[in-house]
Amino acid sequence: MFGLRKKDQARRKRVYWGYSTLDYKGMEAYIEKMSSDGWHLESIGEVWATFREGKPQNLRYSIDVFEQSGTLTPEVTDELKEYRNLCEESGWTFVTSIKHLQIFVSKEEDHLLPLQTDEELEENLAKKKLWRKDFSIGIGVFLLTLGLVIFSRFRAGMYMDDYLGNMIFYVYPFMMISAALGLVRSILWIRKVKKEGLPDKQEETFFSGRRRQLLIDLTAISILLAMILGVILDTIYNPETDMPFALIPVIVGFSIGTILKLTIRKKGEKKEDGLIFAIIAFLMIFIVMAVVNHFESQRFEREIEEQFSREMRIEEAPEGVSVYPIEEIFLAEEDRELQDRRFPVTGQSFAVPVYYVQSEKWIRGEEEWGIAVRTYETRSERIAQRIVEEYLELRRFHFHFFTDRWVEMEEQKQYWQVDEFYMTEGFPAILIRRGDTLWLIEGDYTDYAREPEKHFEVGDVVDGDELDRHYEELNRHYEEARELSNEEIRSLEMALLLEGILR
Amino acid sequence: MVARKQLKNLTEPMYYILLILTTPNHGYGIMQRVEEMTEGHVIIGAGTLYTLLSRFENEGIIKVVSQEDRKKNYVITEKGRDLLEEEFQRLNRLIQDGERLLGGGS
Repeated sequence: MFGLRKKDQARRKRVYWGYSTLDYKGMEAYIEKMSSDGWHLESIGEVWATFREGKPQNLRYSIDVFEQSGTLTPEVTDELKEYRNLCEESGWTFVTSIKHLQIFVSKEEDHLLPLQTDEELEENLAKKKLWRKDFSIGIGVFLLTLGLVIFSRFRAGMYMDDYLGNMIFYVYPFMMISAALGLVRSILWIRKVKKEGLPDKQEETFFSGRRRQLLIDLTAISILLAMILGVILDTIYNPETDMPFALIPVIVGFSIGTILKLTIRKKGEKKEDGLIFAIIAFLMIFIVMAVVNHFESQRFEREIEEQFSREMRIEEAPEGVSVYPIEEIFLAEEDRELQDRRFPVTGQSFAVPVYYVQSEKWIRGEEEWGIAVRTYETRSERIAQRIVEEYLELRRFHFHFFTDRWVEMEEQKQYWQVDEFYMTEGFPAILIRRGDTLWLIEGDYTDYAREPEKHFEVGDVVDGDELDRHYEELNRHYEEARELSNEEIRSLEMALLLEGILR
Repeated sequence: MVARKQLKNLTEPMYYILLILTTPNHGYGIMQRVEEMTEGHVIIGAGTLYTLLSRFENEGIIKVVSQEDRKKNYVITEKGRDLLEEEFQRLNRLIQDGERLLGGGS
């Protein structure tokens, strides 16, 4: 049972280390102080250092920068062996290493020659080798959050209706600020070191370095926790979203990267091994991405297929969701029959506590008609506005852009007493916002005005004259729709439909 | 390039390392010989020595002649010898100029 404990029974203490390296002289002072208190350095990891309890001793620690090592170099190379051997011959005992830093110890009474006798050489080497390490995590964390935050601003709607999206949209900006602060502090400090030289061998040097890195570490941890929390909430409450699936490449990439680093450091022998391992890792990531992509696209195809070949059924509304009486309206005409009703997507997030889709299909004679109503019950008016804006942008740039244009319908807006009312010209869609609630209605209900004879799809080959005629027709159509009076609107199916939804 | 610039004028430790490597020697041996030769006036720590040796090797100023276990034996190359010779001449000129102005007075 006790065999599970490390090596021996001595007590051990873990100390937060950060990863600041330019102040390694400060580390020497701190480690020496720990030794005189009876805690001897055992190892240093990415974040923690382990100290082992023993007899208090006055030891002299010396941390040296080994030029030919780095993240993707094996931990022990022939060069490093030769170097350590030389140091040991001159009396120093090797303790442990972290990246470029090699840590040696000697008894104070031995008065050994220091490892570095040429201050200028030492300083140049340290400045050349170490600043990147002090900088890299800070810049990585900052760029990651900045990228996500900027991206989420452009695609606001996408980030509103699931928890992970909410985290990125609302929580990450704060983390970006803290990452930026951490980064600025690091940069200023690196500049100071480059100008004024390495900081002194004092405990305070170590402590201030650790404080500086703590801000960046905490930010990185918060970002990770927020992401994990978002994914967990989405898995529970929004099982339809693809978010957990989308994270697979990220997780796989990260794992392979970590395994690669460890493999190189532990198994590699020559400096060149790093490159070979890196190539293998990139190939593996590439293969995994290809496989994931393959399955993802198959899944997507299956979904589409299912939608087209689905068996007809009429579902009950999920709990807490009101059914819009669309079918009552259409069944008013005897030759129409409701065939299918379902609620394919229900979800929620902090910003949008209720989100659901009611999708129906019915027949009239030979014709099949379908309709889908998306409902967003959001937390605030501002959020609903953002989603409307996003839909307007999406329509403009991504879908049906050839034939569709959102048109603001002033008359209808006033008549239905809503805050926003938009319609598209060709592919029929209505976007309505009243306060903090938003509806997107898509389907075949618009015989409110004469429709254009032809609809173009993305990818259609169209000649110039045909296009001109099409636009002319569209414009006419759009004018007619705009000029419809309330009287006329009321007499139409769309009006009935809206009454059902907006009442 | 940095190394080349640094080697333009040899520092004391560099000069002694090259001087000693006119006969093959290994790292720790060099450290001892320097201390012996200069009676402790010039000392070279293990870290500094290793850095200098690897730079010299990269510049082709010294080369490895044999290797036993982890100890490499280095010796100065033709190029290194030229460099050392040049430095020796330069130092000589410095001494001569010094003697002309300062030495004559005594």
